[in-house]
Amino acid sequence: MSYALPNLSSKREVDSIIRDTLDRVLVLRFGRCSDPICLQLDDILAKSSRDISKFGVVALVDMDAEEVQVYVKYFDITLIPSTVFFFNAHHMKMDSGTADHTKWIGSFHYKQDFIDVVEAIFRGAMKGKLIVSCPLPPERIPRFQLLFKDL
Amino acid sequence: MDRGKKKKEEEEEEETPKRDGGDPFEFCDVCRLNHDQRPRPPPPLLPLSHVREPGDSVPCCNAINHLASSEHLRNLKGFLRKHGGGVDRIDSFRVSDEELAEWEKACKSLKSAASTSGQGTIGPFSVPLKDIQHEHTSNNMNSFDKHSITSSNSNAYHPVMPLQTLTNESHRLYPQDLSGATGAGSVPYETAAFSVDLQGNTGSARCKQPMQLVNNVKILGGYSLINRTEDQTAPGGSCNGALQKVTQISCAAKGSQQNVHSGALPPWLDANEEKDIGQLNTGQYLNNLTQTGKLKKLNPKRVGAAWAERRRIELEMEKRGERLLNTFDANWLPNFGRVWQAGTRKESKREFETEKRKSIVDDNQPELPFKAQPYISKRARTGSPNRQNADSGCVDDIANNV
Repeated sequence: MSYALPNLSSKREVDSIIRDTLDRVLVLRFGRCSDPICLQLDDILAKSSRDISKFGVVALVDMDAEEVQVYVKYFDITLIPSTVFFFNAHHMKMDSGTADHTKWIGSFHYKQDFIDVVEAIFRGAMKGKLIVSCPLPPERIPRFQLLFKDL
Repeated sequence: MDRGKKKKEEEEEEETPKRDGGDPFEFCDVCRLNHDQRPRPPPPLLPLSHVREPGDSVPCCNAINHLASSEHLRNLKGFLRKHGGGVDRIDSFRVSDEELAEWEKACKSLKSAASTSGQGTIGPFSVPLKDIQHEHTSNNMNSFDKHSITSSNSNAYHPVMPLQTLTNESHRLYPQDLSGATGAGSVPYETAAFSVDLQGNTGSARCKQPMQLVNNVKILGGYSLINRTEDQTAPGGSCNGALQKVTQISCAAKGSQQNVHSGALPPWLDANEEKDIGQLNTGQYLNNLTQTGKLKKLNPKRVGAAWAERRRIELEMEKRGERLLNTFDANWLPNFGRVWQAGTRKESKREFETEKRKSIVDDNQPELPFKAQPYISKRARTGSPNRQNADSGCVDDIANNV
């Protein structure tokens, strides 16, 4: 179903979408089309994109593209899939109880979970908050281990 | 009154058979019909007709095995002897051993083809298949000479397509346009279903006789065209399709080729284009007004409000053509709070840029080849001054490397 979502493979495309998405949450998924968890997440994103179209935009970024590596380093992406949220070209953080508040790592259990997360980010952004709390229960938040510079 | 009664009785006597002496009528268990004693041609055998019953698309292997069995042969001989049919024609009413062997071989090859193809091939199969659809369209339903299994060998390697119509509806097929119609095209979901069926039943593929669908693409195409197109329906204006009766309407603008398929604009857009430009401009003006109205409702303290306002103005200017597109720097980066961040987001951005510059510089600098030097102990180093001078370079290298 990822054919329904825009697939970005260059820095210019990523810059354009960040700059041109105004007053809506921009969801950028960094991953690979061949990874199974990425596929699962892509399926959820594709199915929910229409539902959140009034307050959110979803796009997929190919991590293996050369031009995108600058963003991979800038966003400190070490695990895939990683989902980064923006609002008016500003990065939105979410405190989900994990070590990394700058992105969402892994997939979602349900489509509604993703919609709830985007809604929470949108509401926080409209109030002027750069960091919001995750509305999901802890059992539905994927756990991971974050290492400092892969050490 | 008595005469009337007598007449009636006589009439009844004439009509009713005298069953006291002999059997004027004989009841046939096979045909379930009453026959008189006059010789009549033998009725068609029902057991074989069961194989070609319209409802059955796949004759059971049990029926074929039965037809090849000796029990069936015995019954057949008895039947023909009883009903006066030619015993020399007995082979046309049964399956010979050779035919049975050929059928089993075909089943095996079909099974092996289904298993080796993995997901199952979608499309025609190069195995002898039963052509039941062609049988229904032909006029020789009752003669088994033409529709025996041996006849399938002549069409063994023709490409075949799965059934596109219900075999129950076969009698409604119109034979018109058989030569011209080639619109069978692709029926992807049906072919997939056919292949799935084979794949799902690979275990019992032996038991099922493979279908032979003769190269009746034209017939199917003709039927499909009848069902779908308006030109080939009956002159009465109704299409006797399989499921629905669709009324044909006359196409008003046949001369003009402006339609959805030619990519023409719909009439409501054409009508709009004829309106004055001023009206369009007012429309745009109204849109802008509504947008600005909506924007006023947005919280001015929201995240990136200033950026959004600026960007919106830039986009409007770009739309009007006053400003060139994509004028931002290639090294532009969004506002991002990094993971191992210390300080504000601007500082993290600066930090990243310095890291980036360093990595570029390191890439540009050529790597010096590593020189392996022998180890010199401290005593040796602090020893003779001659030794010191000679080995100072080496010590420095070692220190640098450490």
